[in-house]
Amino acid sequence: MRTYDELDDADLWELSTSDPEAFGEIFRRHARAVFSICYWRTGDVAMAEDVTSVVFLEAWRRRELVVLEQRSALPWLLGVANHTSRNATRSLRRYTQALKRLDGHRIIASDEAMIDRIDAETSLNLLSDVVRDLSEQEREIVLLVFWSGLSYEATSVALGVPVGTIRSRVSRTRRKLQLRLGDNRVTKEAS
Amino acid sequence: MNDDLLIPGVPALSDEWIAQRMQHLIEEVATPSPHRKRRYVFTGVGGGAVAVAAALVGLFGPWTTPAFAGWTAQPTSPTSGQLSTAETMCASLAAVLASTPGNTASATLPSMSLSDVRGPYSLLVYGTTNPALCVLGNGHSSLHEDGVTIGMSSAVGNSVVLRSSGSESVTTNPSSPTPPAPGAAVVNVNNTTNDNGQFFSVIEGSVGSQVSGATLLLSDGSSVVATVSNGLFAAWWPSQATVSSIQVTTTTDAN
Repeated sequence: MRTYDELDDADLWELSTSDPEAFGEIFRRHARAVFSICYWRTGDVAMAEDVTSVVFLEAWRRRELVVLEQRSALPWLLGVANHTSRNATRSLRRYTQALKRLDGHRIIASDEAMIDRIDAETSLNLLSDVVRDLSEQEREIVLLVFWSGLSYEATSVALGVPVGTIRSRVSRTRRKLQLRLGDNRVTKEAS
Repeated sequence: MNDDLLIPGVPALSDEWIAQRMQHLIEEVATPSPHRKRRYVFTGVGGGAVAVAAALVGLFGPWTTPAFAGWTAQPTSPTSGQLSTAETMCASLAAVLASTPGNTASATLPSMSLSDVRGPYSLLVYGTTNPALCVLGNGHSSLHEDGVTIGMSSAVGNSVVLRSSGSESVTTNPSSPTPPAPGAAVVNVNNTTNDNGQFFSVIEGSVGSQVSGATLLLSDGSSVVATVSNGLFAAWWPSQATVSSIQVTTTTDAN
């Protein structure tokens, strides 16, 4: 007997075609990472929560196109999150009916959670100034490589471009941020 | 991750939020929609080369409806990752079933010798002598050795449940296949399995030199084009119909 914990994303993805709970397990594993991208993109907690749900619904719709990176679905999911949250309003509109079925079941934030949100908004506002003038491609590098910690290979999967292109974009983005900040605190990606 | 990397904060998502949204997602994807289509995978795995004569593994289940949707009478090209996923699942399944009490399945599979793809289904043949077959699909599995079902599994909730067997009929399963003459085909394994009322049949055999193709004529009047490769042929079909005859195409036919 095996539990979901013993299965990797590739196994779960295969299983999910007949077992929706296997797809639920993929959500449980990666929802927080996906939410981070959605939050950084939208800067709005409630919207980011709904976009996170939409990312997984969109991933399900496009599941035949999934690309697993070392048997992990995370890079591909973050790619879907990047795309979906960039057009958040339009994405939410597409799944209006599905989100409507959440009404009445939404969780009200506690006082502690509200304080947590304010802290997060403050730090996001500070760093948003840093990346505001970057191009869209450079922002994607910041989101996926610098902030989410994806490897170049994983980012290549997320964005659907060659690793060499990712490498040059990282280099360009790093140079631009270093010039702006005078140090490299924002530009060091995951090793 | 570097300690001095500045990453903007993210509001914490509670476990309650994760659970609630996960349930919503499960309900949404489980609800039939014109935009959603099911995908099934069907693989065959060869048994141990040491003592076991042949193995057949199948994964099917009670919710495999409509039965084997997307199956084609002619082999198709695999989609990206289809075979690698099937191989991984088969290897994993063989290991799990081999570890269950009473099973004699080999925990490791020999090298894959043939793959037969029909739409979303994959039948993989492992080994060339006394080959083993693994069948995966729809969250269910069954393992057969010497033509006998020795284990099945199905995905239920958060776990994979193993049960002892389904039922099947074995029409041909010689332990020492006769090498086919040039231009001929010899059946090694021909197995029909009933898993939760859904019958499927699998055939595997050897072909002699000069054979480039094989078409199976079934007892119900239909025909199935087999995959021929590496001196082997294999095919499966979603019924109990038996093989009436095999038409082979030889390289000399083309001349």
